[in-house]
Amino acid sequence: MSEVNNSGVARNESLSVEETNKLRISLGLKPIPIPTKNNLVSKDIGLETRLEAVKKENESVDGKPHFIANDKINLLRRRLTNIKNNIGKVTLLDEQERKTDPTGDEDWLPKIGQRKKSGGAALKKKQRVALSYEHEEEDDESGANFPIMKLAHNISDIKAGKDIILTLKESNILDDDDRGSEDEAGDMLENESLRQEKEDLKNLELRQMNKERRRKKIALTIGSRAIEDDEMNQKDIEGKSTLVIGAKNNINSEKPISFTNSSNKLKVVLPSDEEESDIGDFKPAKIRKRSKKQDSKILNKRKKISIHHAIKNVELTDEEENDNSLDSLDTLAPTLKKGKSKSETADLSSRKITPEDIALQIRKEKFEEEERSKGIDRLRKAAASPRIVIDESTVFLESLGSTLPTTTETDTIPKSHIEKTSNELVRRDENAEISAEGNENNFVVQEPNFTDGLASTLQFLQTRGVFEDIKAKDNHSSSSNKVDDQTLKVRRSMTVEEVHQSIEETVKKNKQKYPARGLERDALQDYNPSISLIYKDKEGNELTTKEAYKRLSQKFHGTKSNEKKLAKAREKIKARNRQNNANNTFGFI
Amino acid sequence: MIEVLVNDRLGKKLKVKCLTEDTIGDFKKVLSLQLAAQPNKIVLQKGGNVLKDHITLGDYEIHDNTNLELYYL
Repeated sequence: MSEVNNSGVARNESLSVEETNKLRISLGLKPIPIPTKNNLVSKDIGLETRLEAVKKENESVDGKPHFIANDKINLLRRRLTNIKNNIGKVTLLDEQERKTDPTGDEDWLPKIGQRKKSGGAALKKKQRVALSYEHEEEDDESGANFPIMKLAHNISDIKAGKDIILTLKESNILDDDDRGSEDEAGDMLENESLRQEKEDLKNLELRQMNKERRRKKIALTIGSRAIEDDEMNQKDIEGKSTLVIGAKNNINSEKPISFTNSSNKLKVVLPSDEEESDIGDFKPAKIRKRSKKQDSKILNKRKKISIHHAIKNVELTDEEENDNSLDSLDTLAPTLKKGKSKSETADLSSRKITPEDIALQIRKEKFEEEERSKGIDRLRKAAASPRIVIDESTVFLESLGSTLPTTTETDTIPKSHIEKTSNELVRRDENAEISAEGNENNFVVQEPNFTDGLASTLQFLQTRGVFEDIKAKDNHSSSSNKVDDQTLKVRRSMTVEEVHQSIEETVKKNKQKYPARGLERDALQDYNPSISLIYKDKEGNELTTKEAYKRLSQKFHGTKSNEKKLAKAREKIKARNRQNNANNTFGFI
Repeated sequence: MIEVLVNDRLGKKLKVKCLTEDTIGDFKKVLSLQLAAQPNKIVLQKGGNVLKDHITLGDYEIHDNTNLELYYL
């Protein structure tokens, strides 16, 4: 019976099988089958004691030590042997099939597929290799004829525990023909996914390179050597290993891995054409070089341009001088004009002299003469109040100009012109001529430039003794004034005539422009404001000008206003008439 | 035949002989006789899961020397 411990500590309590069976039967349950051989177990004993009993029993029967696990061990052994046998059967080519098919070597390929199908999933490569060894032990003769397949990848690339699908690698037929003589020629097996991965990697790299090249961050200095190195690396990576399908005699069965190592062969996998096309991606590097050249060209061009500019600058200075010479016509330094005007005329002569040019020249000469005369006038005035106005404005230049001609007149003004002026001037000119003749060369060389600054002009004036002359002129001023007045009068009359002429010309132009005004004038010739026109319609009603015009125009165009408007107009006229009548009557009253 | 260990963690630890084909209800009856308790006042658990009466021990994967927790209602 159960042992109940009063101390409260849990103890194993168990009923014997017989007791439980009694209970079970009483409960209407199926009794527990009692252990077969003996009824020793029926006693109240623990498990250990029971085991010992079993031991003793076994010893007594067989005379050998027996354990309960023996059965299990035996079972395991049996299973192992079964598995081994099964493995032995799982070869690419079935033994029995081969025996039945004497020509099996030729059509082994379709059978492989069949075998695989029967096996279910694709076999692991390692397993397959191992299996081939087992098989070769059994059947050596047939194994000699099996083809050697090459693997495109290293054995290490193929992960154990994963199913892989090996496919025949694509290859050029022509290439195969070329290599036909080589013993390594044959079909390549490759893992599609692995190959894809490699391609992707390569593409990525190329893309990266291309990007960098576009950014021009790095100069691609990829020579043929670099490309070769790349290829070599690739070959190393793609270390080939041969795979024997079926069986072969000469494979060392003790070292299954060694054959893979020994058969690592360098083989160019890609056809040469493809590789060239790959290299083609690096061509843009050449383009980059070209661009550099272009840059250098541009630089050269720029340099050239700069040189050109310098030359042009020199030319420009010449032009400026020419401009100065031209401007000098307008400036108040008639002394300088002589030589330059000559040069101008020379230039003109060098060109083709047209009548227009001649006319221009004549005008210029006239202008010069006028300027000279004006200058003389100013000189007279300056003589009256001999002061040089020093100012930034043109007033200073004018004042200078007014003083200058006295000194330089001799060089510029022709003698005929001088004769017109006073005798005293002539005398002074003669004196000046004498002095000028001595310094002529210097004077010509030292052409004063009034535009440069004050100092140079003042210096020039001092050298010419202008200030002294001005002081001296005070004495001669009274005598020269009379002549000047006469000339002034002549000038004024001349200008008045010119103004009249210009006005007449403008009037003529206007007449030409607006001939209608003349017509109007003609029309208005018979205009008499005392006459008043009265328009009347057929009925004798008076019409306003507006109404009369409307009638006229309608008559002319052959149109009519609608009834309503006509009625309205009639009403208006009637109303007017009535009003007029009323006025008349009132008037009469 | 299997032996199942039943522990209430209150001082009672029993070994019950039974068959894997027995239902939990049958097992409870035998156990109740051993415990001197009513079978409908017993709850058995295995790994925290309450075992239902109409399901066999085999279905609950109760093997030899499996521990079951015993609770009283």
